[in-house]
Formats: sequence, structure tokens, C-alpha cells
Amino acid sequence: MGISDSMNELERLRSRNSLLIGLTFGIPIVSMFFYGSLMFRSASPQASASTASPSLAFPLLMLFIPVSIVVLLLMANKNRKRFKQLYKETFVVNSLSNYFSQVMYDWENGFSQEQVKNFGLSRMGNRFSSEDYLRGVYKDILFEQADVTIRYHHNTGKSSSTVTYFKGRMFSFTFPKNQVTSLQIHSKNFAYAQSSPSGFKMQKVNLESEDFNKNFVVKTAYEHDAFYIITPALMERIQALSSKYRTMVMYFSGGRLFLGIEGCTDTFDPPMNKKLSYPEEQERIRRDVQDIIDVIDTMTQSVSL
Amino acid sequence: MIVLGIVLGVLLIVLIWYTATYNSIKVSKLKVKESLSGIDVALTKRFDTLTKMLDVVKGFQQHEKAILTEIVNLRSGMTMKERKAASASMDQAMSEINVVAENYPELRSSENFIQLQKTIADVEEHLQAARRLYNANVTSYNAKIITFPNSIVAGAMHATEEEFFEAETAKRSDVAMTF
Repeated sequence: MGISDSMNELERLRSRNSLLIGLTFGIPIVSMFFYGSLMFRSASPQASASTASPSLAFPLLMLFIPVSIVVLLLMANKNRKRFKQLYKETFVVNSLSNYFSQVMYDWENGFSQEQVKNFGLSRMGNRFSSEDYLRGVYKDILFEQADVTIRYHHNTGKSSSTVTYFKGRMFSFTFPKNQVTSLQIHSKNFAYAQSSPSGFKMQKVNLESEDFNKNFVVKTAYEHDAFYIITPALMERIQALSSKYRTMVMYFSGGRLFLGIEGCTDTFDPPMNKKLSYPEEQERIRRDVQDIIDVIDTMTQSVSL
Repeated sequence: MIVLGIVLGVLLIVLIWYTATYNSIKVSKLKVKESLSGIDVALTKRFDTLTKMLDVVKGFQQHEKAILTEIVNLRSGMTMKERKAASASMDQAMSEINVVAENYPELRSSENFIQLQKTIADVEEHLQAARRLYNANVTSYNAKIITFPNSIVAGAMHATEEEFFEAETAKRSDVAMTF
């Protein structure tokens, strides 16, 4: 399928989605009007025997409305999936190869729960989902990233509550300084950091920068690791990154760095509320890619052994 | 009776505070000592790597008259001043090795030398980390013993301020490293 065919098909799917959403809301409203008019006509003195009875129409409507809503929502969901797939195939897959090598992109799947647990970033709840998995090599650095949502659902029987532990993007990439046992850094406003990643007993460390200590919590199994990894230059770069992303959590272990950025989801996701323009979408993908590059550059700049 | 109770209560509070402060100062002092050993480990690693580098450089300089002198040797129980001097002599040696390497392209491209350069870069980062950790612990310890009312307990313990480990540029010239 050429670009032009893909764009036409995307537009067709987008219009169809708008129609399906419109029908989902429209059918119950029209049905209610219909039922109302029946009530009105049967109550009027001129009502004849041939007038449909509201008492018969009510159960039929009660069956028709939910069934039609469910069917329409299923159709809309299928339509949206097809739209998303075509968008990613048309715009994302080809673009990624321009920026990274050894690209592997799987928009339907993400990290496994076990992988995310081993990242040492967030507490693990009992609801987990991950999608938009991307793996590639940038400047000899192998990286993986995916959108991740972790929630804890609690049900007492009488009431239920859901707490979101983490919703954002997680990265895993090779880190040149590989002699680190266990080091975790997180923004002070992140309340659900994993308490003892990889089973290490962690101790809190204060660094020389008052500003950094005010914004971040640093925990490590060995104090030396914290001072070895977090150089004054890296402190500055993390501070700069945190002005863009409010809540971050990172974990260094062995030769890997795991990074979680809250609130930063829907990478490479298409907008369905407006007509697509090829140059605009290319630019949107470029911006998403640039975000990934900025994160990798920030965390690995001047760290070379 | 009430007055006696109050006096005993106050004494108990003072005793608990004294013990807690005493222990806290001891723990801080211990942390300073531990982090100082980190500096010694890093200095030793740096010394070993530099010695190997000097051997490699000497190999390239055999036909010349000038010979690299030894770096200030490390030994256990060095004072802070001696540590600084040793560190400064290593800085000097490193810069002189770099000067020699500039004149010998074969040396720069030698596999062994490249590997040693990478090792020394890592060792120096570890030394920096050890130095920053030590200085952070010294800051915390010094702040603890000079602030009131901790200074009362520190005085009774004869605790004195610890010296920072900073490479002083001026002192580097004291250690002569000639080729």
C-alpha cells in the first residue's frame, strides 16, 4: 500500500470512528425520544387501538439500547485498532529506522511484568499493562522503552479503590559505568518507588548539591556507588531533565540504567480527532523520537569508559 | 517529692540526649574513617596503574637520556598532607605521561597504553567519588561537632574537626617529577 492509499484508508477509518461514536451516543437519545413520543400518544384522548403500547416498547428498548451500545463500541474499538496499526505501519516503523539501528517495534506489546519488577523502579501492584515496545541502538547504546501502567486495586467487599503506582514510559539502556551494585534516584514527589530493588538493603545518601537533595531522593547499597555515578555534571543534567518531566525514577544496576518517566505516555500514538497531514505526522514522530534521544543523551553524555 | 521527680526526669532526658549525641558523633567519625579508607584504596589503584603506565612510557623512551622518576610512594597510615602530596605527584606524573605520549604516536596507538588510559580514567573517577564521599562525611561530622548543643558533648569527647581532602593546585609544584 502506497502512502497516498494509506492516507486515504486512514481518513476513511477516522471518519468511520467518528460515525460509530456518534451512533453510540445518538441511539439512546433517539430511543428515549421515541419512547417519550409513544407515552405522549398513548396518553392522548385520540389514541386508537392501533397505537403501539409503551408498556411493550419499554422492555424492547431496554434490550435494544444496551445491545446496540455494546455492538457499536466493539466496532469502534476494532476500527480504532485497525487505524492505530495502519498509522504505526505508515509513519512510525519507517521513521524509526532513520534514527536508530537494529530497530524492533511492537506497538501492541511492551515489557513483561517480571522485567518491570527487575527494573527496580516502581512498586508492583496487581494490575499491569504495557505497550509500544521499542528496541534500538543509538550511538552504540542499546535501549528499550515502552509505555507502562501499574495499579493496585483493593476490594474489601463493601468498597473498592484503585491506586496508580506508575503510569508513564520506562526505559532500559546500557550504561558505561558497570561496576554499580544498586543505586536508585527518584523525584521527591514519586511516592511508589520500589523500596529494596534486587533485595539490597538501601541507605539514603545526601549529595553536595542542596538543590539536588531538595528535589531528589538517592538510595544506594554502597555510598561510594552514588558518588561514582552521580557526578556534579550528571546532577545538573538530571535537574535539567526534571524541568521537562516532573516525576522521574531511575535505577542503576550492573551495566544497565532503568528509567521511568511519569505522565509521559502514548508515544507514537495517532490523533483521531482531526484529519491527518503527512508532514505534520512526520514531525510528531520526529518529536517523539527526539524525546527518546534527549533522555539517552542526558543520561549517558560524557560517561564513557 | 515532686521536685525530686522533676530533677530525676530532667537528668534522665539529659542522659538520653548525651548518649544519643555521643553515639551519633562516634558513628559520624566512623563514617569519615571508612570513607578515608576508600580514598586510600582509590589512590593505591591509581598508583599501580600509573606505575604500569610509567613502565610502558619508559620503554618508548629508552634511547633518550631522560628517565621518568618514581611517584611518591604510598604507605599505610599516611597523614592527610602526605596523601595530598602523593595525589599531587600522581597528577603531575599523569600530565607528564600525556606530554610524552604526544611526542610518540606509536605509544598513543599501543594497545597496552590505550587500555591503561581507559583504566586510569576509571580509577580517577573512583578517586573523585571517594574524595567527594569523604568530604561529604567530613562536612556532616564537622557540622555536628561545632553546632550547639552537640559541641558540649564533642568537647567532652575531645572531638576535633577533620581535614578535607582537596587536591591543591599550588601544592602540586612541590613534588618534582622530572623525565
